[in-house]
Formats: sequence, C-alpha cells, structure tokens
Amino acid sequence: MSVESAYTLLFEGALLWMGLLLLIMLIRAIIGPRVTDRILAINMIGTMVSSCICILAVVLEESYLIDMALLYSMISFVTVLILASTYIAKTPSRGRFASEVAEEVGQEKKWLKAYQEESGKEMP
Amino acid sequence: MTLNEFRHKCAAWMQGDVDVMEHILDGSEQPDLSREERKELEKEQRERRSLSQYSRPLVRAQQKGFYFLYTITAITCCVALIGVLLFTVANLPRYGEENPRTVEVVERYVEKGLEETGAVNIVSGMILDYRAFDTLGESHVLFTALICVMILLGKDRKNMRREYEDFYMVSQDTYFEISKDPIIRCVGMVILSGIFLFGIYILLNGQISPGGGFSGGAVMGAALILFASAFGFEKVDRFFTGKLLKIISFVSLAFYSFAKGYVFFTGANGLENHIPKGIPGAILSGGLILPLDIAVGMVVACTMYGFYSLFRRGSIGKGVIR
Amino acid sequence: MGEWIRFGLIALCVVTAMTGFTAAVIGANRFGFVMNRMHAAGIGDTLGIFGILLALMLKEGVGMVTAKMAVIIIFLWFTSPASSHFLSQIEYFTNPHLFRYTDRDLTVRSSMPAAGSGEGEANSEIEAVHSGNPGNNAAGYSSAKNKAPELSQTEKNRKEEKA
Repeated sequence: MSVESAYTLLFEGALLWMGLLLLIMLIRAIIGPRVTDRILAINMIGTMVSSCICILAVVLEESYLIDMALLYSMISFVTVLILASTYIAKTPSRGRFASEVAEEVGQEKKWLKAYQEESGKEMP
Repeated sequence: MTLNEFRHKCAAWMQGDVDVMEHILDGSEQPDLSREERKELEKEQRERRSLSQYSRPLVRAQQKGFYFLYTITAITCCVALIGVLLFTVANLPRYGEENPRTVEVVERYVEKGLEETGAVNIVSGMILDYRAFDTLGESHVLFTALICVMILLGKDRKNMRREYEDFYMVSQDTYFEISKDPIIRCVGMVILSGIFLFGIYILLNGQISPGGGFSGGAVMGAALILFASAFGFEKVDRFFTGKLLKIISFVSLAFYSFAKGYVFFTGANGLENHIPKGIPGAILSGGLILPLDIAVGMVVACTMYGFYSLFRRGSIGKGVIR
Repeated sequence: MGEWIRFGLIALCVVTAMTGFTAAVIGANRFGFVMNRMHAAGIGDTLGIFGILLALMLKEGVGMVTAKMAVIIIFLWFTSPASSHFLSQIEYFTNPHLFRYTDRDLTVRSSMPAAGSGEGEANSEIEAVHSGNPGNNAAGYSSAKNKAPELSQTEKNRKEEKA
C-alpha cells in the first residue's frame, strides 16, 4: 500500500464520518426545543462543512476552495451575531433578565386576578 | 399608559402607596390631556367615522356578488396558467435524451469561452458576457427590492405617531444594544479589516477564481452589517449614509446599463476594439468583466446593508427619510 | 520511511479532530440544556477544526494554501467563543424559565454588580441602586426569595417523575 492510497483512505474516511456527524447534528437542528438550540446546531454544521471543504480542497488539489471555507465560516459567524442582536432587541423583556420580567408579569396577573375577585369588576 | 409604567405602578401598589386601578376601572382614563392632544384625538375619530362612510359602496358591491365574480376569475386564471405550464413541460425533451440546442450552447461556452471573453473563470465570463442581460435584470431586482423595503419600512412623517414612539424605541434597540458589549467590539476590531479586504479580494478576482460580484458584494455587505452591530449605527453613518447609498447604487446600475446597452446595440459583439482583453489570468483582463463585477458588487453590498438598516431602525443613515 | 512518519502524524491529527467532532455532536444531542450543549459545541469548534487544518497544513507544506488555512484557524478561534457568548446572551435575555435549569442564587448574583456577595438585604440594596428603581426591584427580589421553596419542590417532583 503506497502513501498516496493511504492518504486517500484517511481523508475519505474522515469525510464519510463527518457526513454522518452532520446528519446527526441535523436532528438537533430540527427537534431543538428553543431557538438557541437551532442556531447552535447550524453554527456547528457550518464549522464542520467548512472543514469538509478544506479537506476537499486538498484532496482535489483545488486551492480556491479554501476561500470558500473562509467565507463559509465568516457568514456563519455573522449569522449568529445578527440573529442575537435582532432577537434580543425584539423580545418583550427589552434586554433585561427574562425570568425576572416573567416573574413580575406573573405577579401582576396574580394581583389583577385577586383584585377582580375582590371587587367583582371587569379587567381592563 | 405603557407596560413599564404599569409595572412600576403595580410594584408601588404592592407597597401600599398607590391604587393602580384608579383611572382604569371607572372609565376616566385620559386624565391630563392637553387641549391640542384632545383636538388631535377628536380629529382622528372623525376621520375614522368618515372612512366607514367611504367604505359603504364596497359593502354594496360585496352584496351584489363582487366576491363571487372575483373568485371565479381567479380560479379561471390559475387553471389557464397551470394548463399552459403543463403543456410546456410535456413538450420538453426527456431527461437523458440528447438535446441538440443545449449541447451546442454548452460546447460553445466551454470551447470558445476563454478566447471570446478573456476570463479564466468560465462562469464569470458566462454571466457577465454572454448572459449579461440576465445579470442586469438580477441587479435591478435587488435594487427594486431595496426600494420596496424602503417604502414599506422607512420611517417618515406620515407613519410615525407620538403614541407609537415607545414601540419604535423598543424596536430600535434603545433598551438593548449589542454594540455596548465589549466582546463584540474587540472581535470586530480584529476581524473587520480582514473581512473587508477579503471581500475586495473576491470582488476583484471574479474573472480569475470563483466569486465575483455577487459573493464579493455579499461579503462586503456582511462586513458593513458586522460594523454596524459591533460599533453601533452612528459609526457607520459617518462614512456610509443614505445619500451615498443612493449615489453608489444609481451610478453602478447606470454604468452597467449603459455599457451593456452599447454592447447590445452594436450587435452583441463586445467592446473588443475599445477595451483590450489582456492576458488571461491577470487581474486586468477580461475587458468589461471587471468593471461590471465591481458595479454588481457595489449594488449587492448596498442592498444588504440597506435591508439590515431598514429592518432594524427604519432608515438608512441619520434621521428620518423624507 | 519519512513519508510514513508524516502520514502517522497527519493520521493522529485527523483522529484527534474526529474525536473532537464526535464528542461535540454526542454532547450536543445528549445534554439537556442549551448552555451545556454550547460547551460541547465549543470543543468541536476549536479542537476539531484545529486538528483537521493542522493535518492539512502538514500535508500541504509551506505555501499560500497553508497560510490561508492558518487564517481560517485564527478566524475560527476568534469567532467561536464570541458566537457562544452571543448564544448565551440570547438564552439569558429571552428564556423566562432559565432559573429552572440553573442555580437560582447564581443567576441573581450575576445580574448584579460584582461587589454583591454579601447577605440578602445588602444584595437587594445594591440591586436597587444599580437599576435606579428601588421599589420595583426590591419587590422583585423579595418575591424571588419567597418563591424559592416552591421551586425546589417542583424540581423534586420532576426528579421523582424522571426516576
């Protein structure tokens, strides 16, 4: 067995294994209960795909694919950043600690309910 | 009364200071409106009443079966369109069969592409030389989309009201700005210049390596968005205002249209007599492809940043769109 | 023989990277909460990409491709912790049930300035000064304190259900 075939075997095995891992990661992206799970899974998939592209660039001897890998990782970072800023800014907790706000709102509802039961008037 | 005030009042009520339901439950909910505000309120109510009067003919039309006719027409149009499309699909050559026309075109591109366009990257030569009209349409589509978003989401005098100001403040990140975070500032300082340079590199190497106008412009737009996220919109407004965006978009599209219009007018033979092709593989090669690439990249970068800015704060550049 | 030694080094790097990626994927699928999953994914982002790109750099030798790969490594090592930070910020600011998964005291303390490590009353004072709204926050803090036993009971119930 020559060195070349050994290299081919190694890199192709790595590519196949990473394809399997990508599929498993996709499960998390689909079933993730929260938005952050999905973003995390997509970020992870981006990292793995960019390393796959690097392997392909060496195996196929096409050096321009490295540029694509760099671009891919860049775009995935910008995605996370923009989603974070937009998503936080649009939530009703307005940039405060969300569970505190939820607690306060829950308290308000409780008070309002108690007031309604006491006075018998309608809620605003 | 905003939610925040309400929350504070609730907290104060729990301490036993204030009765929260004071003005709400007995119906006297606008205690201290000034005279002008009350006038405005009355004017609005009058407008609402007159609107309902204007809509009466529409109601009558509905009663006469306007919607029935509308539904019938829509269904007829849809069925006709589906029939035409299915007929076209049925007449296409089967998959795997040799179609002489497409094979001819592909052979022509592969064999004579480098010779005729001067671009090593055959895709770039195709989309900016043989099919430049298509790319012209694409960049105009981007520009049109930007205009539509500007019309719909742009803040101006007419769609801003005093009572919604709080809502706008929320949507403009006044309560939370990610650019206040020191981590993103440090990361931005390190990687931003690299991203800008990488975008320019992709943009200028369009005729040599994969990339070109669309991807290079997208990277530059992403860099602008990252800049806005890292250091705030105010820093971007110093060098990239709405006026500059309009100027860049217009000049790029006008240059593209005039250059390619001239080419098509003279029989789609290219500008071979005026711009030399250069050596294949050098940066200054490919004739018109490099300037067209730059034009497309500028439009794409402007569109991406414009979308982000409009969706985030309702305007490009400082202040309100007039 | 030297070729084979180089191949051995490269194979070692690739196997390390694959281990890292596998650990990341298993962790991201098995852990129960986003913060823990984030920890797992960070391993893949740093160790995995470093192993793969080191192997490829060893394979390629000195040149333009190697320099670009080094740029990718540096870029990912800069951005991966930053994106983890933003993810945790999303979770922190938008998840109203965060305290169910974490230590309640820890989260309260982290929302205050660093000096707040004293007793309960001192804490509430600091928090009030910090946010500039005394009545509201004092109420919130005291209510949180009152709520704590209930929460622990619900947690016990959940554990029993799981068992």
